[in-house]
Amino acid sequence: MDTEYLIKLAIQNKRSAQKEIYETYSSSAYAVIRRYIKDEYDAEDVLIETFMKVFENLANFKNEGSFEGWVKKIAVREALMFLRRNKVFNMFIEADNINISEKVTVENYLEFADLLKVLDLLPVGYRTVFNLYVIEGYKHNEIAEILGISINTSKSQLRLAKDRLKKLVEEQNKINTA
Amino acid sequence: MTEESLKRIQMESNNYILNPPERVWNRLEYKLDRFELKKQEQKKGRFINMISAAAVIIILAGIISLVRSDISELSVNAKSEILIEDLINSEITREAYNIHTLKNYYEKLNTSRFKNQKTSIRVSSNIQG
Repeated sequence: MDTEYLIKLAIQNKRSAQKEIYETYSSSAYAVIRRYIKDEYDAEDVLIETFMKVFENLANFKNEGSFEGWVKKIAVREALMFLRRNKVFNMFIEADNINISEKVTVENYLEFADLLKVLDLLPVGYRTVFNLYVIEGYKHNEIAEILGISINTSKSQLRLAKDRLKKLVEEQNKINTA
Repeated sequence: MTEESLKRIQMESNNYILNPPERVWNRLEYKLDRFELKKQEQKKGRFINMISAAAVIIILAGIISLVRSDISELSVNAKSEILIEDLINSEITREAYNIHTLKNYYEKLNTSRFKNQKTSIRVSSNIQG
């Protein structure tokens, strides 16, 4: 069944169509959410909220972009809303107050699943900005607007995130080679 | 971190999938059911509200039309009362009234005169007889 037809049926509240949409897109949405939210149960709650929003707003989806991209965008927004609600952001260090080298290289790369685990070790602020900038491709001014922080804070969080990530990956590599 | 490694993270992230536990769909389905029920209740409530609003409007319209007809009746009565009052107090009526009274007075006077004449005649005949 093609996505457009599936969406039409889901708008008419056909449960089988809604289930098919969920089964097709939940894995990628869950992966996105888990990048932002460490706790498995919290991530499940956010995934449910994401699909509630998806089904409520299906009629607003214009077949212009990819449906998966649209679902992922909602997932990111819901994850950020969850983080905001729970006030877990801690981003008080401004870029002017830190001195971190930009040139960081990680040659021996980890498997991506392991990298995700390493990302989980980052503080929420670092991880969120890292995710938004590196993976979602947002600009610093957009991140600042989304998270309600200054552009400098966004930049500083990214630098700190990269630095911390480098250290963590190196540690992980040492453990793996030992 | 190099640009290359960051790009790799981005690409792999976009392709990365993670299966959520089975229980999530059950929870989602339960939530969807509740949402649907709530929507139906809201629809029902809206329908009831619309009906009661329509009933209130009809009742109000009825009351207003009744009150308006009473007011117009009252105003007609009040108007005729005023007209009568005006008529009574007007110069023409007063004149007509006066003429009428005057006529009555003269009539009474004439009758009493005639009576007096009759009496006087009778008296005179008695004297003669």
